[in-house]
Amino acid sequence: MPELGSLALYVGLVVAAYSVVALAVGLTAGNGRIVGSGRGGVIATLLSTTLASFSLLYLLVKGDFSVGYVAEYSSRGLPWFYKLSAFWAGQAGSLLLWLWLLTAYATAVIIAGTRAASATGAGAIGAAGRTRPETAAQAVLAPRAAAFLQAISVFFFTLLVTVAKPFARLAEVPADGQGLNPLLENPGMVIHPVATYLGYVGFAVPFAFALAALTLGTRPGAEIARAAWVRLTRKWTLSAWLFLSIGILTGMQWAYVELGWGGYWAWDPVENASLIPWLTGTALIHSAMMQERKGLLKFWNLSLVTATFLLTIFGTYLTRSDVLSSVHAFGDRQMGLYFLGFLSFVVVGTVGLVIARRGQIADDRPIEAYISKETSFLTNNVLLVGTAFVVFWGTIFPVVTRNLLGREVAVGPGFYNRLSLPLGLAILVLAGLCPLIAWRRSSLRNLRDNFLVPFVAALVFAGLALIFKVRPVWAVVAFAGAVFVGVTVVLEFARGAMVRARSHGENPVAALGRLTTRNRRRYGGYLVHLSVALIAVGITGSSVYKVEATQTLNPGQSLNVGAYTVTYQKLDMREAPNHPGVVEVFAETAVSRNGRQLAVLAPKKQFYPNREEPGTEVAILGGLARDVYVILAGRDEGMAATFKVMVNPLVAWIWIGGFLLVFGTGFALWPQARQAAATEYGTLRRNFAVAGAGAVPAAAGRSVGGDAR
Amino acid sequence: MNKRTRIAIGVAVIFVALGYLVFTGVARSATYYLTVGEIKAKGASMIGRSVRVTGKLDGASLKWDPTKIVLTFDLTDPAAGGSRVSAVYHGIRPDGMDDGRDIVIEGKLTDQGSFDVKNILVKCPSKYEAQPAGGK
Repeated sequence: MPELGSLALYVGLVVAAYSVVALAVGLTAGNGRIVGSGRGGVIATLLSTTLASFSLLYLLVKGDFSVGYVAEYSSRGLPWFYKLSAFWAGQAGSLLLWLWLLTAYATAVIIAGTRAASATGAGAIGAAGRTRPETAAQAVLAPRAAAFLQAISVFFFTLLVTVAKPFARLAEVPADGQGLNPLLENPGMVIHPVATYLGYVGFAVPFAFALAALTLGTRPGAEIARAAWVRLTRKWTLSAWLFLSIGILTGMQWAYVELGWGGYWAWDPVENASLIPWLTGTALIHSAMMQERKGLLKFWNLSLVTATFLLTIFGTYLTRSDVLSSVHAFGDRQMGLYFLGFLSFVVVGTVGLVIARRGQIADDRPIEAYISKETSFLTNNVLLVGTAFVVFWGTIFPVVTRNLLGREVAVGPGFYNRLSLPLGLAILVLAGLCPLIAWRRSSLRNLRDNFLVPFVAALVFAGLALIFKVRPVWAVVAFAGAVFVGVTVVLEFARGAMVRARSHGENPVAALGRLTTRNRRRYGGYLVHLSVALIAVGITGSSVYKVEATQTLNPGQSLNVGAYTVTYQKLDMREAPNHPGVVEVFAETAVSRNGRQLAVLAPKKQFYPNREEPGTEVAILGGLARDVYVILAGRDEGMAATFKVMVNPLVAWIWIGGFLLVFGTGFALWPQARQAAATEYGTLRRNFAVAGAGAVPAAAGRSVGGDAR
Repeated sequence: MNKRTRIAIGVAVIFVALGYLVFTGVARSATYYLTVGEIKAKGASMIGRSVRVTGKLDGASLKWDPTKIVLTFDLTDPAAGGSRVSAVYHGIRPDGMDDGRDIVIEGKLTDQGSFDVKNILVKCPSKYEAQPAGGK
């Protein structure tokens, strides 16, 4: 079985390399048969990665400890569920997962291309009158994009057959595997890596389409196809962003409930590795709209999509190597060189391509006014990319100083917190402002109509908060910012529903439903902005107003934290449910407030048969206003036990905001009802007309407020 | 001055402000990242400066005072002739502090020669790939 997996990887490498060449040659020569063969190669590559992945899964579940990877991450006693998740617990396996997803995406892209081609006829892209220009562009771009995706696969195949071999055998076969680290035995740890990788890998698709558009040259129809890459990849980009968001949020949740330090974000390099591409990806989602609607920021979008892709590769490297984990450890040097080589190759290649094709990425028109959606998007992009840069710089700072100064200097959470505070606040306020500022040119009157109420609401809130001595001031500013965004979004839903109810004679609820489902992108986007405000509330509340106490208690004694009293009742032990062989010691503790008992919690220590150190399982009394977070730190002489108790205000709003973010993004991604889609298609055709002719004035009559997103 | 230039200036201003924040942020929160051997070698010059120190936990030295909530332990550096630093941490013991595990501590060296720990980072072996044998 390991030989089969290994063989599948070698075959995959050859087939993937072949498909790159076949697609490149076939597309350049315009030879349909060679392209068809390359297409077969793409699908065959997916088959081989699937075979390799199933081999590894099989070995993990079966527990073939002659394979090094299996011995390291699986064990006999592990529940099958976690045996499967051991697939991505280590370096080799997670690189295989990356590759598997990438080849699946490449196959999806090439199939979409084939479908589009058969709908268009023999590549007749000029015939935009009969087929939708989008379909025609898809037919032209998809096979090209698939070629680029396959080229990326070649890199990962190379890693998997040279430096990170998942199927390598051990010289001595151990009796049992080491098993998963207990910290990873959490349902969150099953979702988190997969979601993060779905996001990471997903950004490769828009990148590949961007390159495809850039390499089209001057063949007939190239102009239209080039203008379409942003639109064609909108769903890919948005889904990748959604998965990455889910990955980050589940990671935070896991850290909060599992790591037992009461926080959810530590500015750890591994966390930063997922945040940085998320920030640039967020910028891309916004700036892509500028290109889609107005033909602006083409060069910027190309840079952003490239940067985001590079950052996902960088993030994969960071999380799966030792480069930042310890002082003076250079980690897996060979792996590092491979990644560095690949990153440099992509940078040089893309920059070269951009220089060669710079004429094709000039903007269709300049930005028209200072107060417009264009400039507000530009500002949000600058801030998001600036934040990404700050986090990136802090993350690689030890590596930079190690190489330049010969000694390692790190920056702590203080650095990130100080910087992310002003940037985060500015981004929050923009999340309220941006959606409602009109394209092209906004008037003061437009601003007043849209923002007077939210602005006054935020001001009143801030004033009251300050009068009631809520401190620090920046926290009040953050909450007021969230109020501003919240009121803006709610008002926009209400206003839209009222207008529609009046004009269509519908009841307001039905009007709201129709309004939103016919403008999914717009209202989905509003929901995501609202979710950002909720998350900001949660982050502000929990980081500013957290209180904690640590004390050693005897049974019957209690400790006070904030308004809460935690009483230690008794200590007991049992075999952990669902986990034979694991013994847990738990302390029954009653949580009360003003003399009224709210709950009895059982924080624990778990003792694993093959590990020296116990693991801590915290107990949390969750609530909308605050979480009471109880840690059993250890047992002392007799029945005495040490407890650390934290009251974390408003944490729940991070998770609620997270759910809303997922819902909002999903809402925006869901296919639009037909009638509305036709309208969008009209917009697209107009834009193509503009892109094609170059001289047609901007779509008339859509200047103020009409078309916010 | 046309619009394009002005917008470019606006963007540049934001970036300069950001650069300033980054620069001062680094200056204020930069901490040296040292091994136990290095901090010992630097001696008194490191007293009172905020540093991160990495070393191996000596499990036998680990002591816990439940009434005062104080955890004391030694980190050693086998690569530097077994030099050691005694650390004092006012807080609870994090998971994974096994004998011989690589630990990173953040804090300051006091003039008594012990290390006042603000933060303990236990390296999670599954989060990062383990060093291959003899890889250092």
